[in-house]
Amino acid sequence: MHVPDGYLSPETCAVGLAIAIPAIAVASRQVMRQVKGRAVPKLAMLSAFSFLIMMFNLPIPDGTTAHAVGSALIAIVMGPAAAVIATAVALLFQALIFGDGGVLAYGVNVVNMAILMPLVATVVNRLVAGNSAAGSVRRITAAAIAGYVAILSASIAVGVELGIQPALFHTADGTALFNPYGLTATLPAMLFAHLLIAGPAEAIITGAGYGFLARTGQLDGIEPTSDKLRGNPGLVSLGVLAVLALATPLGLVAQGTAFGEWAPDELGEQLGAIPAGLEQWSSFWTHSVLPDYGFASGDAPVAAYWISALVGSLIVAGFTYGALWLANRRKPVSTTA
Amino acid sequence: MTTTLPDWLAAPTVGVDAPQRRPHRFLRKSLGQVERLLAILSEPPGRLADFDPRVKLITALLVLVAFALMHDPRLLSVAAVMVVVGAVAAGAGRALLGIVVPVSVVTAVVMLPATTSLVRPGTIVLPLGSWAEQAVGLTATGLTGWWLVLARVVASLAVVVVLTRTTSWLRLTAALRSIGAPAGFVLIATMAHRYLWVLGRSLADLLQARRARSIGGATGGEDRAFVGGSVGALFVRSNELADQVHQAMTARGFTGRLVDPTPARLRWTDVAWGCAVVAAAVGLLWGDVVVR
Amino acid sequence: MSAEPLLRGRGLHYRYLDRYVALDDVSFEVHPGEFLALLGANGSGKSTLLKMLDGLVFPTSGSLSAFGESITEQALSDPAANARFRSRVGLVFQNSEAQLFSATVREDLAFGCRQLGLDAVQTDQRIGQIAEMLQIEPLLDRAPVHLSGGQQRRVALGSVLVMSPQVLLFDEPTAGLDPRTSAWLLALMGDLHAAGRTMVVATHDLDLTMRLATRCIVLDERHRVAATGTPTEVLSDTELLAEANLIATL
Repeated sequence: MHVPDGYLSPETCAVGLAIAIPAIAVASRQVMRQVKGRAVPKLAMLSAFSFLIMMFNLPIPDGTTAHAVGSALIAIVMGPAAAVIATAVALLFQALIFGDGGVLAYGVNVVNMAILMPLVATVVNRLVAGNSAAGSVRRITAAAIAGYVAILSASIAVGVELGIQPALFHTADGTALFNPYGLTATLPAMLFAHLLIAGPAEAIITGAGYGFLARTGQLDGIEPTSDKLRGNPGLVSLGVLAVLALATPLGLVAQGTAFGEWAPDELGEQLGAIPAGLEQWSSFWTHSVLPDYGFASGDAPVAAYWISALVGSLIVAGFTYGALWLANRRKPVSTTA
Repeated sequence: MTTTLPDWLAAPTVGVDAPQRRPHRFLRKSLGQVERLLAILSEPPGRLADFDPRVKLITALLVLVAFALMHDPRLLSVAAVMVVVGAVAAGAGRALLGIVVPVSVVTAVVMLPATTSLVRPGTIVLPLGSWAEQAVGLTATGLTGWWLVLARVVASLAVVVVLTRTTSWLRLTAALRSIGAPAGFVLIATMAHRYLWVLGRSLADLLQARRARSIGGATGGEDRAFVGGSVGALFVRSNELADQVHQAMTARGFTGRLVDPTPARLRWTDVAWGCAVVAAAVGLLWGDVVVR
Repeated sequence: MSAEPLLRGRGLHYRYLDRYVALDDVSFEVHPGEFLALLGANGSGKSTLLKMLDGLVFPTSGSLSAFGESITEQALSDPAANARFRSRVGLVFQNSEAQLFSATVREDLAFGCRQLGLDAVQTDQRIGQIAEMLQIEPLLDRAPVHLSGGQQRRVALGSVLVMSPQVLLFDEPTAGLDPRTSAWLLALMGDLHAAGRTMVVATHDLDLTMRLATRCIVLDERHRVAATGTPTEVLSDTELLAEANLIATL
């Protein structure tokens, strides 16, 4: 799950940092407001907590042990913004103290575990929990499912990030410069490991951790309500931006513009199982978002693609932000408990 | 005030059969991890600690980018050896061993299938046989890619080890701040590092207390309850400590505004060191572009 | 003191985190039925020694045996040896909170009973009796994390006592307790000792030592054994006590 330096191209790392830094800034502003002056020690403590959770070896039902990330638990208990900060700091420790996860790849790791996971966990938890009472079996199940789905989405993200490397970054003779496996290998590998091992571990820590805190009454008054999710347009739109940024190179891969050096049959082999829908995705960007700019069919198709994808992603994220902001104003926060 | 002891307490337990249950491997593994953390946290920074942390941080990042941009596995291997030798000279050899060996072994194994023509078609240099009526073997491009990624992983990790094992966390976070990391984030990271020790020890206690009462393992449900309980107890402890720290900070006049410490002046040795490292990195990169 | 010692340490050395010396050439014996006080200032290595006696940390060099069996990490990885050892030695941690990891007091007390293989009826019976004895009946369904320090100490003690170990190790049992709880605990420890339990108590509480101990071992600030003897002998040697930082001389 922690991608080390050397597996990802510097371009991929730069995209990761470009998403991670604003997200951390937005999240820290959000939390500072939420808990006022207490934010600093609270978040510092949560960060240390998050780091220690990552060191916990969990017994999973088949008898082996696995690590969990814990950001789903923090998101459910303290809200997604706090989870973003705490996990980001914990990942900084992981990279610098234990060498788990790279320094250049820090942004990518933050996107996967500190941004995507908390957001997915928050949404899934809300959907499954509904209006059930705190500490009820349904809530504990919801937390466990949220943890499972969150780690699974993070693993898909890692699979995509690793899987796009060989097609995008290789030398003229076809030597892969970074991770050599394509999407057809990375996605199944990541999914398999997480469906069976890391997924259950995350589900256990999220479900059991939430269950304990709810049963012992630790959550009275601090559990975030549904308003907090809505009250978080900055974070959610950054999450949308992250998903789009992850998906963008897929379009490029599907379109096949990036590797002219490869013979067509080799290319087909590389792409293997990438669904045809991705081709539509790429034409969506190049043709429908910026139809009149003349890039699309021009001399620099790759540059045109990236620019249009960037503009398109920003527009979509902007819409998300605006919609959430409006929703927030329309229904003012009424209850906190 | 004499207490009457129940019968079972009046006579001690002697001889208990080991229940046929799963061993509690996760306890030992977790304890090992926590103890490793505590050991690392208590390590004094090695040599090179005198250099300015900002210079070290910026040069380390530049070197990492240079490594990421390089295409030639031979040059990258030279770079890896240079950094590893530097790390050993800086007194970070043991830390290097503990961190680089596991990651590079995993990388070497995971990347191995990609050297075959099954995963990445190309010119076969070492035939291994045939499968589905096609020749299978190690390809030139596959082997080059394998070597390249492995060399880069080792070199990059060694850079991080040199940086972090020769710089105290406080100086490292101050350096992060000076290159523009958000003030709140840096302050949180600085404080969190201090709490790691307190919470780490309390987690070690928790795991040991459980181990002390464990007779030959537990059922899955008991283990899961324990995980929930210890994570929960740790969370509660974190929260209480955070409240106390906040009160202590408030008592000393903290109102939520952060003051950066005035950075120290750069000395000529710092500048010279920085220039030397950057020159080496640029040299490697230039060489890489030439041989490409 | 002719009987075989229950626990025996020979030339024990321990380095905390491979770096800081915590025990330096410590040798001792614990005999059946004795009440041994481990005296020492903060940081003298008492807690480390107790954890070593409980098979939680292992000496860097030197040897430790319990009930005639050698205690090493390797030896305790055998389930049968682990079960024999852990059911006969119990440690009450200095930090009670650390011992309590269940959602309710009842579950924490039940943990040890289930480890011993008791069935539900026996477990409930033990919990009821121990709760009555420790005066924690009203707390049984509450969360340990919400209890006061004194209440947590009682529950932590109960969680060890339910296993009825032959050797009871206590780390600073009276530290931080109010006078009434402290007096109650001393009386209980006396009763357990009178019932034949072997007690090893790490403390710098000289009052406790004088009232209950049958023998003392003094650890000095260099992590070595400075003296052994009866409480009367040791506690009358003010020079020794001052040297070991157990009394302050101004």
